[in-house]
Amino acid sequence: MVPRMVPGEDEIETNLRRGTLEFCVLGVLAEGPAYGLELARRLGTDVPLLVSEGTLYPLLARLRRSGWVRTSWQESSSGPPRRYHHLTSDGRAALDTFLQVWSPFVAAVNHVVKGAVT
Amino acid sequence: MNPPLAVIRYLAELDAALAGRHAPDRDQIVTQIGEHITEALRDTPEPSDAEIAAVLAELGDPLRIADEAAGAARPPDRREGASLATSPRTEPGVSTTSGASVPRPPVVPAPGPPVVPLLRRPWIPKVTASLWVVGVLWPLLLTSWNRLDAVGNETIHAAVALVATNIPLVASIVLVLCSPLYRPSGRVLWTMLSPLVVFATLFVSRVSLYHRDVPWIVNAVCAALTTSGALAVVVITRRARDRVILGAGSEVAPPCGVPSEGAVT
Repeated sequence: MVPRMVPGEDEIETNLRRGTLEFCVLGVLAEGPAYGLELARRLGTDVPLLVSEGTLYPLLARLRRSGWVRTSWQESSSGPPRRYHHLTSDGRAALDTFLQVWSPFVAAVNHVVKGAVT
Repeated sequence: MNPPLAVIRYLAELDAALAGRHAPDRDQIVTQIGEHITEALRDTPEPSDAEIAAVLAELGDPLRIADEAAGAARPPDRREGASLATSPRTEPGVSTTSGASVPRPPVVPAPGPPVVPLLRRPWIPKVTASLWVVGVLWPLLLTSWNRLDAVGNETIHAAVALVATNIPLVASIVLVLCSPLYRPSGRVLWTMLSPLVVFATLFVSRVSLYHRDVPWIVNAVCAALTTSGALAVVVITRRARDRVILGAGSEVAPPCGVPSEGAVT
């Protein structure tokens, strides 16, 4: 049997991020359309959910392919037009489903591990 | 204004890292990251190298972005030499808050400067267009300045041979077909139009000018072919040049003043 290394914070963060980040993006877009840089900053300001800002774009590409996000161009008063990302109705439904699962899930995890918290 | 060299290199490196992805995904990701850089520097008309490096560092290592595109999620990059890359939130080898020392991967030596793939270099569109011009003129240089007496089989065979052995034209077509700077539609147009333009140019300059009995419609078709071919080459070359500037190529923003709400999926 190969002993498993103790995971670092980064590895745990990566694993947690894997299943939740796309819903965080949908959550930000639920507040209103956003262009890429704005979205990246909103996801990274308080708690850095993105490993790096660039990793947002493959994620957005997947969300667009899924039909959960669409994009449009909008004029800007201070430069070239911006590509805005919008939540679609399918994206809204996916986010709602996630939210139904998420709170009980977090509560269950907290309940189970609270005994280990010193 | 051309983008800074560091940005061109970064986008080229990203594009190369995404080589395994489907072309639409690859183009979309590279284009949007190009837009991100433009947006981040929007309020800085002449950014310093440090400001550009900071934006690129925020974007992160192109290999990490490619990993994300591939659906993999490796732990954050701790390479000291990550080319243009990440800003780690913790230093290598530091202890975690739990006090456990986390094993770190060995340090990878810094790679050299990113290399722009040959067929994506900025001179490709200019060289390709120049070869095309030489290729169109090539038969005229090889044939005598005397008129061709008739449009018979021998003349047609000679014209076909002149096109088939037209090294500059063939080279331009090969470059267009192989370089990722050109879109599929541009490649088809370039390949189909080029021989026709050579034929048309040859016909007008060697036959029509000397034969009054050539129907006007033939001359008109030849002139239209030559003109549309030249225009198509100019447009395709400009688009390829724009793709160099963007670092990949892709969707182009609608013209200013024309807001569009159409979905871009």
